Order: sequence, then structure tokens, then C-alpha cells
Amino acid sequence: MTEAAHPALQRAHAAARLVHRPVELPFETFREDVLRLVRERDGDAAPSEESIARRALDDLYLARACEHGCADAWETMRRQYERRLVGLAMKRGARGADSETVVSDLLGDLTLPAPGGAARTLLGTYAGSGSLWAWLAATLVRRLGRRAARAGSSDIDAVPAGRLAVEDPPWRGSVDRETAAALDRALTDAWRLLEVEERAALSLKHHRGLSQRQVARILGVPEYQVSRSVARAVTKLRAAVERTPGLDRHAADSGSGWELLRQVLASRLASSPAGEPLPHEARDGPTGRPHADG
Amino acid sequence: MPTDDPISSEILERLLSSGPADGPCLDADAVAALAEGRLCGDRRTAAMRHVASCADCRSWVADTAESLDDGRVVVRRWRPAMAAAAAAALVAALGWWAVRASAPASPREMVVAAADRMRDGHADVFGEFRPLTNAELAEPGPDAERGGMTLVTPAMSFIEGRPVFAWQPVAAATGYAVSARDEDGAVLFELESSEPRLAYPQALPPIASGTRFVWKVTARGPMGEVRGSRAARRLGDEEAVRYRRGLELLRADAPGRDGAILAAHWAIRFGLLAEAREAIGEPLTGASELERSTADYVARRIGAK
Repeated sequence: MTEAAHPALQRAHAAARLVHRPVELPFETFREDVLRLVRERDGDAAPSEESIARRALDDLYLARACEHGCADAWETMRRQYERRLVGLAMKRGARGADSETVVSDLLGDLTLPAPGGAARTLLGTYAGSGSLWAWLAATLVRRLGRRAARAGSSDIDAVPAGRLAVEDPPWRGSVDRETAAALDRALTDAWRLLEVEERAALSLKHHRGLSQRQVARILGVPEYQVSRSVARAVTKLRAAVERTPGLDRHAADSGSGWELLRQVLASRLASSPAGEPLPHEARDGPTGRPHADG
Repeated sequence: MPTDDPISSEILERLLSSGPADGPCLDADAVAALAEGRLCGDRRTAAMRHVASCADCRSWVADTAESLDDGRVVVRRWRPAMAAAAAAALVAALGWWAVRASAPASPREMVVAAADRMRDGHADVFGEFRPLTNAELAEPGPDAERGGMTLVTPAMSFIEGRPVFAWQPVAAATGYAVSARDEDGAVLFELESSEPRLAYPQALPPIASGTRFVWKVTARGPMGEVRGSRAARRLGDEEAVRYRRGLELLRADAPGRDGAILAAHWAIRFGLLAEAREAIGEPLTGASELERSTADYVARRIGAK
């Protein structure tokens, strides 16, 4: 297909002109920009119609119009997203006027040159892989998270990454040294052998506490498949624990190696300093966000 | 299942920090696409592999995904209509209010409130949009069957210029002739199919935006011919853009089943029955009355019921 073709681009341009009136971005500029971004992102010298159509083309139209300084573009972008961003900032813990300041700063910073000269403006780095709303939300969330981390605030993203020192396996000290090392190795190897989808599903659902629907959306699979991936991953990890040499000696009272591991961890949690909520508590606690149902 | 135990988080903590991050960190473009489920192929596989090994990017993706799902509707306000109805019996109303204030809103109230919110936030897209009332949902509507057979899709309106035509099969039919004429009587196409469906051919020019037409199917078999017909319309460009824009906003701002119901009602308002059916799906056990009546309405109009 020649570059002059791409009916998806022509349709998208016509539709975007309607959506973002009165912003006018010439078709040639739009076409060249989109093809360049798709080439850069997908590494495809001759982007297919499908890879072009997959982009959020009407959002790209507005973002590229901003990048090129087209009349009314920045105002249109601000009008379309500022209120939603303020709402999001408030939901993420920013208070009243502060939420408006954060969003105003963010929208202002989008007009600044992108780091490394990648684009004329920061908004110019948006490549349309997701919607512009999701891109702005990601940028705002990042900014709020960093701000909270700098301030040591407990308002935003206060969920601790973990209470146990990761350098020190929690089971060390509860079983003999050789068994602890074998257990560590077995679990780590089993983890690496999990399918990408299993690892991602387990970490997003049970480490980050996302709902089944959210995980399914990220993974691009049906919701029921998330449960299956998680169950498969746990079965594999559990099998790795059960197979660990030497663990059966310690597991005699507990019934199984997996049970022993759970008991060891429970005892570690009980003896760790109080005051810092467990991840699952923080999600539902007063400083955490409510956990969305799946 | 052991994974419901918080201890699993501690095991995971250990495992997730057990090696270097896989691949380069994500940028906002990739995070947005991943959180929306729009990343495909090798890019998604690489991104997921990285997310499973990098705490920073995992947090970023998770927080963004949560943010896109934020905005769940909670109706707690006292509505004037409810107050009027309750004024006749003040004591009873006060008692009811006490219960009402702590009880979750009904599915219809949730959906109506979500529609209110969408109109308030995006008046340029949602304009006067309202979910269908119970009375509208109960309307029998025109009979989907015209002639001796039922044509299923396209029904009422559709978006793409090359739709898939589908109809209920006729027993012992050996072939089907499919044709369409526009409002002026001009023939849009005349095609043949051996199955009860026909994908509009790529070789023909797409049906123009805004075109209204009647499509007819003639089933041929040993017992003679059976005919069916149905009217359809391809949405105009501006309508299609508005519908898509609204759907995107609904997906972002109205999550969950309420959002799905609202998306179905949004599609119904455009006459997009196939899209409405896709949005509402098959009601599961425990589905609300609104969900069931919406699915029933769509199935009835399409002719699948």
C-alpha cells in the first residue's frame, strides 16, 4: 500500500476535524506525523492499515495540532480534559485548590520541550497507542505518585511495596540454611518458568490488588482467563515448594511444605513492627482507595 | 484458594524482587495503551514481561488502570420526585429515608445518575441523552420478521460501510439471493450466498454514510422460495463520530455493569442494535431487572427472540 492511500487516515482525519472543531490540522501533516509515529513505535517501515487504525487517531489529531501550534488546539485540549483531570487528581488524594494547581501545572508543562529533543512539546511524545485521556491520566498519576513519595505523604499511593526486606527471604531462620536456600531457588526458578501472562496476572491481581476486570483489560484476555492464569501460577509455585528437598522434615507438623511456608510467613508478619498496614489492609483502609470489584 | 491469603503477597514480594527488570521501562504512551488493553502483539508481550519484573512500572500501570476505572457512581442524594411521593406519609417517609440513605441505589438509579454525570461532563457529546425508560423497554416494537423469514443484522442502524448481513436459516434452503435498494429504488447490490450470512464484499464500494435502504433475502429450496426484508441505515459520519466518542467516554468514566448497560442504551438511541447486544451481552445469574429488560429489548428488536 502506498503512503498516499491509507483510507483509515483519511476517514480519521475527516472525523477528527468534526470532533475537535475549530482545530484545523492539514491532512498531509497529520498523515506524515501518524506514519512516522507508527514506524517509530512498531518498528515497521511500511505501517499496515491495521496498525494505523489501531491508534487513537482522533486523539492524535488533537495532540499533533497542539504540537504544531495550530490555532485553538491547546485551548480545545484544555477544555476537553482539564475538568476530568481535576476530578482524577481529587480521587487520587489531591485536595480542593491543590488538585486544580496540579492539573494546571501539568497542562502547562505539556507545552514545554520534551526531554532529549524527542518532540517540540511534551504532548508531542504522545503516540496514540492508547487514548489521550489514558495518556494524560498516566502522566498525572505518575506526577502525583512522585510528589507523594517526595513529601512522604500517606494520602496518595501509601500502599507500601512490602513489609519484609526483600534481600532477606522471609523463610530464612525458620528452616535450616540449606532448606531455605533450596526453597528460595525453587520458588525463583518456578517464577521464571511461569508464562508471561501468569506472572503478569498474579502480580497485578495479588500484588497490586487490581480487580479481575482491570487485569483482564491489561492482559487483553477474558476475565475468566485471569482466574485460570492465577490458579495455574499458584499451582506451579506450590508444586515448586512441595518439591523442595529437605522441606518435608520441617513440614511434618504442618502437613505440607506449602502450609509450612504459610505458617512461617504468618509468624514473620505477626512479629514485624506494628503501625504499617499490610498491602491488603491498606487497599480497604481509611487512607487507601476502595478496591474496585471485579 | 491460597492466593486469597495476604501471605501470598509476601511470597510475591520476594519473587517479584528476585531478579533484574526484563527490558526497558515503559513510557506514558505504553502505560496508557497497556492500562486500556490496547497494546497488541509483541509490544504487549514485552510490556507485560517488564511489568511482571519492574515494581515501578507495575505501580504505574496499576494506578493508571485504576484511575481509568475511577468515577463509580454512588447515589445518595434525596431526589425531589421521591420526596413528593413520600410527602403523603411523613413518618413512613422518614423511616424509608433512613433505610434509603444507607442502602445502595437501584441499578436504574445508578445508570440514570451515570447518564446525568456524562451529560454534565460532556454536553457536546451526550446532549439530551437519557437511558430508555421502563415503558420504552417494554414496547414490543416492529416485528423483526417481514415476509416468511427473519433478517437479523444489519438491523436499524450500523456503522461500517461493509456490514455483515445475517438472517435466520430456512430449512432445506439450497441458496440465498441477497439484494438491497436505496430510498430511490436504485439497486445497491445483488449477491448470492450459500449460507445464512454474507459479508459485504471488499470488491464493492462501501455503502455510503447516511444511506437508507431495504435489503431482501430470497431463500431457494425444493419447496420453492421464501422471502424476507428489512430496512437499515448506515449512520452519517457525524453521528458515527458522536457515537464512538460517547462510547469511549463511557468506557473511561462509567465502568462495570452500569457502564455496560449505559453503553447499550447509548447504542440503542442510535439504532445500533448489534452494538447494544455486544455491550449488554447475555445477562448472567443475578443480573438486575434493568439489565435483563435491556437485553430482552435488544434481542426482540433484532429478531433473535
